[in-house]
Amino acid sequence: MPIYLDYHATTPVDPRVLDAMLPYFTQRFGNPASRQHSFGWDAQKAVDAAREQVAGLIGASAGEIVFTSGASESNNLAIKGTACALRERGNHLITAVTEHKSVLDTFKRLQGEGFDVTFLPVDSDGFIDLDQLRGSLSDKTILVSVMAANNEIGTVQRLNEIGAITSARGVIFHTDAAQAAGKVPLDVNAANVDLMSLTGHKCYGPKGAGALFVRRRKPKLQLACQIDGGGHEGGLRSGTLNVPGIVGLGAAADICRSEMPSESPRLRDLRDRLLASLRASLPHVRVNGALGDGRLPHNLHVTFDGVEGERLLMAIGDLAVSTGSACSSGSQRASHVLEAIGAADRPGASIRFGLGRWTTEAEIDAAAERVVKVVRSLQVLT
Amino acid sequence: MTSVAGMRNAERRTRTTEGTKPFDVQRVRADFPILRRQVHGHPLVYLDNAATTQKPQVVLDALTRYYTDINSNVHRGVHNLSELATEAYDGARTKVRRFFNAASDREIVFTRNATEGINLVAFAFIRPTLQPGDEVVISAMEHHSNIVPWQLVCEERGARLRVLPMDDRGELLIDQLDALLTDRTRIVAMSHMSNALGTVNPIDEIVRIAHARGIPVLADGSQAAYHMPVDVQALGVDFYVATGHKLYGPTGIGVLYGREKLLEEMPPFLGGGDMISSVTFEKSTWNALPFKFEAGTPHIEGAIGLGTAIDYITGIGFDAIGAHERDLLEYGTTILESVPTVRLVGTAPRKASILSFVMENVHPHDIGTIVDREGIAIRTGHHCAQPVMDRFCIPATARASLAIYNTRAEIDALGAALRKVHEVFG
Amino acid sequence: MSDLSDLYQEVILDHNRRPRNFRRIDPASHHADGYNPLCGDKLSLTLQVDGGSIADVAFEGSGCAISKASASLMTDAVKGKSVDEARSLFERFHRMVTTPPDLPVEDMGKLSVLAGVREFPVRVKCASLAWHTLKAALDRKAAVSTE
Repeated sequence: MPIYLDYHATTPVDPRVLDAMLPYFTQRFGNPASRQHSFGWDAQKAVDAAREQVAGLIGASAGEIVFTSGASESNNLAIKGTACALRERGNHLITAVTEHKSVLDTFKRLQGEGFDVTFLPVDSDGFIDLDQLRGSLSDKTILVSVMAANNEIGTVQRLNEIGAITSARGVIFHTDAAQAAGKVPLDVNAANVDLMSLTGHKCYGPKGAGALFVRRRKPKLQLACQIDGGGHEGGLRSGTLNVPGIVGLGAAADICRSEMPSESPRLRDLRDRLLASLRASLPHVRVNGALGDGRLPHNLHVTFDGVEGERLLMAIGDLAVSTGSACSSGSQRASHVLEAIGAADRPGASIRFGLGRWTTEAEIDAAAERVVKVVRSLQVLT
Repeated sequence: MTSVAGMRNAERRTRTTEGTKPFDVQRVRADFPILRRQVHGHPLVYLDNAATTQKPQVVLDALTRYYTDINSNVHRGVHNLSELATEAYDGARTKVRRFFNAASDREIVFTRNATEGINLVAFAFIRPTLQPGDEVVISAMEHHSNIVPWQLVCEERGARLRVLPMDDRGELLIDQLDALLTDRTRIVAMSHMSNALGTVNPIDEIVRIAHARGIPVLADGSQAAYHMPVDVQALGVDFYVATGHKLYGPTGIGVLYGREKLLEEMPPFLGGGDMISSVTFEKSTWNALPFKFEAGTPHIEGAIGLGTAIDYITGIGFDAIGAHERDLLEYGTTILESVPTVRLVGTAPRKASILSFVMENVHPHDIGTIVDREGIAIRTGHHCAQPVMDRFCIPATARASLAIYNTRAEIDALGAALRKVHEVFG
Repeated sequence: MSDLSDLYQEVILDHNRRPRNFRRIDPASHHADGYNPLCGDKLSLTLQVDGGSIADVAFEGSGCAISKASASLMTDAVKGKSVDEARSLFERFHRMVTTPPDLPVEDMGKLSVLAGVREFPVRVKCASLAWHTLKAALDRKAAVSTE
């Protein structure tokens, strides 16, 4: 049985989530847009409940949650929607170089359409520099998009400080929380976040279900919709709602919220155990990203000196992890994140471990043993 | 619920904009215990430094140590504790003297505050020889404490108070000063830095103009002394007053610098112990400077605490303090100007650490209440400078005033809170 | 923030923006000036009392939202009332804004929107200024200060 330590890529659906979803495929199949009969009302009720659950995870109110197909769509809606709605006010956008491709590529498209985009660099731990952010803001700036937590090296950005800076200037603040939601506490009000992207399949919900938090109060946000049609989701996202997926997303959010206080420390301890084991047996284990509170509890990203990436991946066998980067594995190039933190020019192979709800101590020990063995043999070879 | 980013302590380090010596604002903040407290569930953002500054732990420790180790009266006993207390008290005077670069300890008089220092000069230096028709010249941006004492002596003697005006940016019209001076002008008394506007006045130039006519000058350094180095000899002032509680020191202790020759000529201000050399019921003779002006048991631990505060400030250095505060002022100006309907009051080219402002259709008092709920302490009102408010035709302003421990993040919090004010009233 | 919105309720913001009876009655049978040195609120109250009843009442001045709204609401509340009724309203209003925030207070209709100042002790003076000025005018004192 392979050991799955790639929870950043995706997570299995929690059986409790699946149980909540199943009835909505069959008996309770109604369309919430059907306002005339009980099938529709039933579905509407389920969607409303899910909206409350998702909002509860991030300190929002239900009316501020727009359901989408996932974080990529949410990122597109947030960024293009803001750029389009506020174009009159200014054409300057700010993001960070370590963002997910769905954010970076959206900004690049906008760049092609005449927007001026600042890509903030990060330090060796993956943090943006707050003073550099302050210095980049101008009267023309309309949006700052900085991810809550990085999908590769797990760096948890200082959302509160970023939000304080943007709200002092009246600039919209979007954060891609696909990796952070359900793993670390998020509070859109304390952090002055205006837009937050969420997805189901990274937190034990189904694939194809996501959400965008859109601030509705103080101030109410203007957003241009990117999918026209029936005017669903307050006109922000047309299309018949994916009711089973939404119910699953809601259930997943609810479980994360209630279990986070015990689950996060558990994962952090396992992650620390994994690192300690690797370091005990191998020289030169370099950790990419921050340690402590500045990192997702279930993330570990390490580089082993003197090992070739492709060979490591092949030798590692039945251990499901990512090497280099999830999005460019198969290519020899280091990921844009490792490049950004200055880790790309150092020779060696990198592994991203993503721990999760079903990761056990035995698996961690087995994984550590496996990695140590492989790295040792490869280091000897070279 | 704490959020992700709240766990981290951002802005660990801010570099000074000039030079290479790093100024670590977080390390400075750690020296001030009060900055760890919360207000209305938010971290305290203290932006009322022009009213009083917070105290570093070393100052608090100095006060405690005085009472736990050496408490006794000064300049009296022959016993060991009195010697220690006297040494500490006089030592504090030497620190103050160096801090202001006075020529001698005899020129440093401990007072209760800056107000008392001004009163001392008004009553002991000016009043005894003030004649009807004499004139005292002040400026349009004075704190009440540099208006009222002069009014009192002028009214009593039939003398006139004359006022040097300022322009719309809050800058004194220095070129009108000479015309304002006459052979009846007895003293020119002006603030070094305005508490309501932040304007830094060219005291050296004022001194040059006044001294050309043989007129002495008093400068009120209440605001200037904790933001910039003050050299009374370089400025050329005859009197300079400051207050301890704005210098990160205790309340109830102030400083009057006076040119020795002038202090010698002056009669005492208050009578009592410590200020005499001999007393009979017929006649007393005055003690030497500066004790002539320190009647009664002085604020011993206050002076010692002030000395410690001065050591603390000197340890950081005005180069670093100035660079840090200039950066904050510049950043704060940008942030405040970006908030809809905010208008800054006091935009002189030479200003420091004060952001006085008004918002359209919102009374400053309402601004103060709303930002207070965000844990932000600012001053709202006339700042004991009603004539300044009248000059700008406003009843009051809101004022954020900066000190060494403030951060850009705190300015961000203020900006966000002001946007809330705008939403509530907009 | 909920207590802030208690203080700055829509009614208060509205009376601040568009104060009612914001003018001067000239000649007036009663008049008094009120001053709150803390925030510099100044208001000038003029009344026309005919046969023991307040035929007209108006105010002018400048001040914070609370003092302005309170003055505006007060003029609406006492207009047409007898002097004795106005005095009794003063007592009731005074009691309402000085009762500790955790205790229940009498419902004073529209004037109840000012009960929120109890959470903000330094603002009670702002809410009371107009009422103290009214009392001074009825007592035929020319000026009152909340200091």
